Amino acid sequence: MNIRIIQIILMIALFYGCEPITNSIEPEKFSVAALITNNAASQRIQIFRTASLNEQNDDPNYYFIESAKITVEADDTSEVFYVMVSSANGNYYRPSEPTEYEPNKKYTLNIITDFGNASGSTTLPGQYSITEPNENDAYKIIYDQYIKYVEINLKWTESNNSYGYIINLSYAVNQNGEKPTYVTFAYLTKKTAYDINVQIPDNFVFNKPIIISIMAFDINYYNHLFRNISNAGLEGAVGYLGSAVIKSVNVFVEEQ
Amino acid sequence: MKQLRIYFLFILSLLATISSTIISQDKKSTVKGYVLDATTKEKLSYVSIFDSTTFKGTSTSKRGYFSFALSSGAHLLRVSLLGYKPVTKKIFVKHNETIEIIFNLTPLPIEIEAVTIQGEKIKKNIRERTYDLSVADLREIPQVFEPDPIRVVQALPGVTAANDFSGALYLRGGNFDETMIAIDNVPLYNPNHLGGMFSSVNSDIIANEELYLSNYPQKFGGFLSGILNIQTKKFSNKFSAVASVGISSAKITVKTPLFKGSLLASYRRTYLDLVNLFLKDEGFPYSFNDLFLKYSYPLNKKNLIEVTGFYSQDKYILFTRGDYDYLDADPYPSWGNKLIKASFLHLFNKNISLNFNCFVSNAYMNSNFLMKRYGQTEYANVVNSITDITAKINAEITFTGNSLMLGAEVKNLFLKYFWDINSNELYDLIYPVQDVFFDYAPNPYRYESSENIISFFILDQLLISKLFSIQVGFRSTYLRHLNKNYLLPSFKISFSLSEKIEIAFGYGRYIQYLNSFKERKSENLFAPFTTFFLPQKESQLSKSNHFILGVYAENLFLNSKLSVELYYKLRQNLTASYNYTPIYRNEDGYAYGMDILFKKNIGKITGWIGYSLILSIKEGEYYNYFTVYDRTNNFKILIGYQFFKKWRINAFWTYATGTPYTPITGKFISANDYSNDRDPNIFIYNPSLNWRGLEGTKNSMRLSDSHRLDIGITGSFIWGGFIVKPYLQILNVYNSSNPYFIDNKSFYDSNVKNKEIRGSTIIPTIGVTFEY
Repeated sequence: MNIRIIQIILMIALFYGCEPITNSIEPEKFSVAALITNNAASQRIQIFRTASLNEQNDDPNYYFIESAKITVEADDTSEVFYVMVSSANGNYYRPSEPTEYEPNKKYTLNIITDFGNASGSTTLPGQYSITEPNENDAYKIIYDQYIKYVEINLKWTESNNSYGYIINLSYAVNQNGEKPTYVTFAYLTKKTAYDINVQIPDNFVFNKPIIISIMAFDINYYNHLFRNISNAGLEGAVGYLGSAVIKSVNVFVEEQ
Repeated sequence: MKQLRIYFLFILSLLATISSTIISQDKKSTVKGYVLDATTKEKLSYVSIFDSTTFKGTSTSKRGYFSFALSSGAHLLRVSLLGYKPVTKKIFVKHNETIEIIFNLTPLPIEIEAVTIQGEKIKKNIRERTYDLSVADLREIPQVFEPDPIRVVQALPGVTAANDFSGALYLRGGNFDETMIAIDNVPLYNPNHLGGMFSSVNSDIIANEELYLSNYPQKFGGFLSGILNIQTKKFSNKFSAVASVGISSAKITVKTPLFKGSLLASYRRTYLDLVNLFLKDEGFPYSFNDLFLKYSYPLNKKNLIEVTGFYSQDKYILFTRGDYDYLDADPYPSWGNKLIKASFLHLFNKNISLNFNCFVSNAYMNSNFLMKRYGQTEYANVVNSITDITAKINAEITFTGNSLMLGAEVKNLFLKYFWDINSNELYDLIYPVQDVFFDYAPNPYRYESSENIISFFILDQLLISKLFSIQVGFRSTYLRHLNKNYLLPSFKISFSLSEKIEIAFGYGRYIQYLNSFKERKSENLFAPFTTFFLPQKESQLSKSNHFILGVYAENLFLNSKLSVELYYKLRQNLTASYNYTPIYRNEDGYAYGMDILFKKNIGKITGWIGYSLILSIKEGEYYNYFTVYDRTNNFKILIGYQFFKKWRINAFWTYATGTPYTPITGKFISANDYSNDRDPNIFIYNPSLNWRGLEGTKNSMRLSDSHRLDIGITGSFIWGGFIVKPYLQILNVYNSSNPYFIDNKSFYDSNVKNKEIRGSTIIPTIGVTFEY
């Protein structure tokens, strides 16, 4: 009796243990890094083939796909064709004519390559404006016990359709008498105001402005860059199709 | 191959040890018999029979039968059952003699303490839950640092852990968030300290634990898999005190009469932060403490009022080191639970009782950290809160062969989450740091939601005949936000094939209205706060149908217990997260398997051998895949050996199949984060290009299998009026390097790979408990 029960249990265990999981999915063959903005000079799309884990060449151009056909369409069917630009710093595609994309407008991207096709869409964030500070405002240095800094209180109007804002702050510093170089800080926020204490180093270049840029970006850009989502706003390829509206203001620091 | 052979030999030697014990036990004398109710002459089940001479014991079967082996000589047997007057009897047995005894227990007059027990008498005749754990079990199973009422459950079949240090409970192919962990029936939404290494509940306050691996009775609700209900010590007029000192914490528990009532108070605190001070900030700047208070006040012989309070807090002191220009770190990041409960128990007569209770259970996490350094501002603002406000009334009616429970519950859930984190130091620890809250969590993030849930339930347990019993339950749950009512039936039929063998079949339907979005393994190592979300539409409400078939045998040989349970769970609308858009989905799935437990309680060598087969599958958009908590094969062996009468050495060996993970099958170049080196005149001109891993089929690979051996020695002796109970535990004796998770965050260079992070080590623990 007892042996029979054990036999039954073992038979059931054997039967139970056979779970047929047959799963496979074709991995993406290429990646896309596409950000379209209201800034004509900054339109750039990069397309790279994916690599095996064993490939160790770190030069992006080694993987760059040169024969892609790229179009961007809007709701009113306007179409922009992209052309490839060779660059030592990394090849990329840009519109055949300088193009500014309009805030609040939905754009569709189509890519045809030898590695397959991809498509996606994004809606540019809405228009907005920086309300504080004003262009060319000057700030006085505040001296603390240990450091000197200026306090910049940034404010801007809300951009609809945007997921958040990146504030980019840059200023020039002297490097041992050579040409000044820029030091850049970046901040991420969902609010429409941000207070920044900018530490003023000893080699700060006072006759050059602090350049403050604000980028209102869409959720695809955020998902890919900050949430590690492998394909955001795209189908058929990994990467992202993001959009942004960028505003800038220059301010100065008064030397005392 | 060599390792495999060693493990095989190890298992063989364990089996040989058990076999030799079995043989040696046969040669001893035996005492057997029945325990009866002195007035009704009914056979009493689950009566404790304890030999005060040898400290051995057993309990009666469902039919009131008991049998256990004794050495020849004089023995003092104490027979006890709650609600009955204990009986003590001295016996003398000769070598190889078998003697039969019938004990008659007299019911005690009705007392407040016995109210719940009257109901239990019937309930325990029907097999309701798979396993019960006593305080003694807590001490016998070697555990990390100190006896832990939640982690101890992981030693049982059907329960799996994410890794060696995680306290999260995965029951029968369900996710950790599908298990209600409750203290005196009140759910705890943040039941762990230190991301799961310790549970929030101090083991010294516990009377017993009830664990439902699946098919739980409908007096509970709202969770898809099972229930772990930790029951604290009840009203008592006797003074007792327990103080424990361990390697990481100290605790004190006092139970004392107070103003005609009884107070149970317990406090525990770690030393880790103090050690850190001693090491001049080179240690781990972390601490936790918890406080439990319960005051029971009998108004008279028929009415009892109880007020319970529980508070737990973890603190992590950020940035105690390094240079900074400005620091505002008060309060320090902290998280834990706050709970208050009031209950009123009224006894109409011996068979009818009414229980009303209301509680507020809150889990929280707060951080208001701000630091400025080198012109950069780092901050971690977190305000997370889950609040459960519930009022519940239930009546229990007990009469011959029938135990009926009726109840109603009104529950209000309030969820509020906010975080805004910008801290390079935290990113160095976990990136993205907000993923500790849920998979692919945004940052900053704000969420607020609430729900009213109204439930009614009825649970009837009937003994149809001596061989046949049935439990029928029904729960009706209304969710205001969804404006929908759910009818949730359950039943369980038990049939005795013989005096020793019973079979049972059960069905239950369950819903879950609080779900987490946590599937990835890497974050399970440290999760200070798990966020739960309410369904916004019907298709997001998780549902499950449980089917169970069990065979239970008692005393087939050597006073052992054998239970075999097969289960099948049909699951709907489970949360799933993906590395592509859309990130979150609700998917159906199923889980099935089998749990086997062979347990031997009597003799110098006791313990259990457990095996679980667990298969847990989700039906994804394109294919079916194993869930991350699928651990197909699990072996758990506990062997305890008693020596010098009051000392025990326990060995616990566990083996589990590795958990599935999504492998990196290739890599790709993409923009990665905004960088600090771009041309400032053109905002996005030169995005930094980085390598990322290209994920393959979801959960198509597995981590390496894990196994380890833990050994513990416990004992007791009397010293200066105290019972002193020292313990020594060594975890992972043979230093098995068990895996934790796959590290895929190495996407900053081209060297992307599936890197298995391992790191278990030998952990010795020593401690001592003083009881008065």
